[in-house]
Amino acid sequence: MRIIRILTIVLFPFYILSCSEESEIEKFVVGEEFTNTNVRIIQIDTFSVELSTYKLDSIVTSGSNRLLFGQYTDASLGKVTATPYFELSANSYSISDEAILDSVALILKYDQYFYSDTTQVMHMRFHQLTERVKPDETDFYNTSNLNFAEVPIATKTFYPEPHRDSLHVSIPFNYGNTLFNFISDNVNSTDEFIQEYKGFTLQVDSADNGSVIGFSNQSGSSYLRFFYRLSDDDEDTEYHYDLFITASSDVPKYFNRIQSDVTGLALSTLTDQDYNLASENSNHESYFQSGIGYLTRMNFPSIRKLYDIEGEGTVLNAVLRLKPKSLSYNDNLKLRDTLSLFYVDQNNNVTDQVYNSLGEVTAKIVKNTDGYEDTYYEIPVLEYIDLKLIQAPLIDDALIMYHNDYNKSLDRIIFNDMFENNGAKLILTYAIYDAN
Amino acid sequence: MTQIKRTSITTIFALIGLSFTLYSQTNDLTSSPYSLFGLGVESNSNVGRASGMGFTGISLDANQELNLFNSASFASIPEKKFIFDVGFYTQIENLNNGDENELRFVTSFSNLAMAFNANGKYGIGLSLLPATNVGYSLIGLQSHVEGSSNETYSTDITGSGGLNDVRLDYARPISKNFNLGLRFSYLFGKIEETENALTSTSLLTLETKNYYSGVKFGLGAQYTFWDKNTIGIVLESPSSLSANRDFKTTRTTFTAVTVVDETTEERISNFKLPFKFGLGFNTYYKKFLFAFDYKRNFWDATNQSDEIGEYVDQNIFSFGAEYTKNATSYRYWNRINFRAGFNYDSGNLEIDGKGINSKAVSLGIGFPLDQKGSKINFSYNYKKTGSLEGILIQDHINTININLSLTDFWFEKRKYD
Repeated sequence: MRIIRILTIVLFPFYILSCSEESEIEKFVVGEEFTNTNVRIIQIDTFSVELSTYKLDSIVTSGSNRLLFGQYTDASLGKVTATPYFELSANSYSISDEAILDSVALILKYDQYFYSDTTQVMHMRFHQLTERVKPDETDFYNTSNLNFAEVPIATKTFYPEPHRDSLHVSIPFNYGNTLFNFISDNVNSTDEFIQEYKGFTLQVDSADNGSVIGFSNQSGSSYLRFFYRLSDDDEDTEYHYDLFITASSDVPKYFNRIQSDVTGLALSTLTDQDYNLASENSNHESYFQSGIGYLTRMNFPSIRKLYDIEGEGTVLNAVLRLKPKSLSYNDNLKLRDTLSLFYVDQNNNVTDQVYNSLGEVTAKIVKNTDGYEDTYYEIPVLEYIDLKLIQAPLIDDALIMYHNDYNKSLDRIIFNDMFENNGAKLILTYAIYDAN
Repeated sequence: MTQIKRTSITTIFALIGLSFTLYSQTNDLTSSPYSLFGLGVESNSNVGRASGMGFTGISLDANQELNLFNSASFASIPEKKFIFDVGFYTQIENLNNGDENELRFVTSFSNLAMAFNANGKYGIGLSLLPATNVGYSLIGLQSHVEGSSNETYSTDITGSGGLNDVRLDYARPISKNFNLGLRFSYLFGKIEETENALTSTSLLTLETKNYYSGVKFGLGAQYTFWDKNTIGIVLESPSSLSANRDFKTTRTTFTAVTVVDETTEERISNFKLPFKFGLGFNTYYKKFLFAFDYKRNFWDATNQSDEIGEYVDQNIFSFGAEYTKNATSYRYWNRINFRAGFNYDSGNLEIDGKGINSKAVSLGIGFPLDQKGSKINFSYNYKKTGSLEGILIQDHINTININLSLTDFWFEKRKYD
């Protein structure tokens, strides 16, 4: 019995000690020279990056919640033009017989989007369509087109002020009065109204070179407004009646036609979506332009040469740095801060968005302003490199990137390739390890 | 009598259970960077008496306490005696590489052994003790990412594990003064190394688990002459431990953990243990016992080398003394054992042509727990390993050992029913 008591006394402290084990200390370096460390980490930035440009056949532009209007010319990407087409209608077509029209105005609310030079004067023409705003199938595209009456209803010369509230386009009284009377006399339903007034479009003067701006399509923001009084009213109360773009879930009532003229440029060879214009053939540049549909295709044709490095190894990190061409961007020609990444197959069809466990993988802009300007997109490509190293059969796929406003903006980015200004650089962090 | 006996048996089994629990928790914990080499540093684990006497014992008997140095000693366990020995140690280690000092602290199981002599004709012992210990942590080693302008990565390397030795000793007297013993040893263990390389964006982890197992045999003899003098000799067979490896490489980024590489149970080259030879002598002079050992381990012949070090033949000299006023006295204080020892080990490794030797001194004291021979032993050991030359480091190890040696008489036929 005494033994047990002694044992308890003797062993208990050990039991406590054995549970506490070694205390954690941040740094233990004595004996460092003995380590036959099995890992070597190297950084490699000499793998080739292939950039090319392709053009989407079309982009759906109906349902974008923006009327995109304007025009500018770019040395590398040609002249781009955005013109909205829309149907106007009302909830009710009953107007008092006593109504006397005062004036009519098209009010377009700026939604703050702009691209390129807003200090240039713009010439807007308001035309009536001669075709219904009705898609062949379900959507309108940036390539869609509708005929309109050659003579404009109204014209407006203005300097865009995208941070102001709205743009007012006065409508000639005669045109407005005819329309107003037509509604009050003949129209009981939208169908009846659009039999006569099929729709409208905003056109830009072909010589304009300024900016592209965005207007809201919302019924309470942009509308054709009729200001009137009632003849039997003692006081001079002013009333108004609005026509607007109806929000419709199934049939689109508006779209933006977005076109570019690339005559004489390398881009003019891009006639089909599965054709790629290598950066070598376009001035060591590759292009991104939303609205029109130019996308930069990025791939790493020699990545499997990693296998030539002796020893077992693995890529720890892979970052692609893409530099926008210097002086190709400024406060008007803005660069997006982030772009989403997607995989495309050999036919340039998007197969997947690039995701990791935290969600969407994005390209982010990095701006170094100390001393000299150094701005680039940093694109995490580890997932793609992992895939390419084991892909069988090897597919001529690639990464592309774009943003959510791709169908309702006219931004552009010009990238330099690896031969120009160190424009494209794949930076691999590679670990070589011994399995011993 | 029956009642007491049952209690002590229960106690012993409870102890075995507790010891194994502790064993499984503490086995990993040595902490010398020298354990990076081979299968780790050779364990200092031993029974309590040896720890106080500079790990000397080739010629010592097992009359009162076990002696694991020579299997022949098991023949000297008195008839019907059962001895159980369990021990633990706490180690405070001070590492120095000339520039920096680091303190490490370790607690570990040191041994578990039991032996008996049922009929006076032979002694049998079963023991479990760590044979080697691996335990190193090199943390925060900075390296430059080759090819980058100023990026660095940091490496942590930790190792743990070691070999265990389960021994079965059998010894019997050949003549009145001559005992012969045989030993069968089964060595097994796992040595793990984890290396983490941390860059600014990711972590690469290499995990290696090496499993070793093998057997070796030992032969021991002790001869007593002129009553108070004994010489002992031990031989240990060379052995080749077969080895398997599990290897896993994992890459961890901010967003994903990827197993890059994984192999299991891959055969790797055997690890060879050398032929060992030892010679010991002890003599009683008045109330003192003096013991000398010399051991030589023939590592050269194993033709092995480590990545940084070379294996070289190892010479170990040790000396131990024990003072007991009167072992059979009725006065408690007279039965206490006082011990001291010295140990010089030339080491089995040479780094950059320099041997890594160690010198140790020890002090011990053994308190009797009962009249049968049970004891609680305390010892303190100071050991200096390595030097500050070149890349070598100096290791100052302070060890406190606590050990319990329990004795009982079993197999007694009751005289009266």
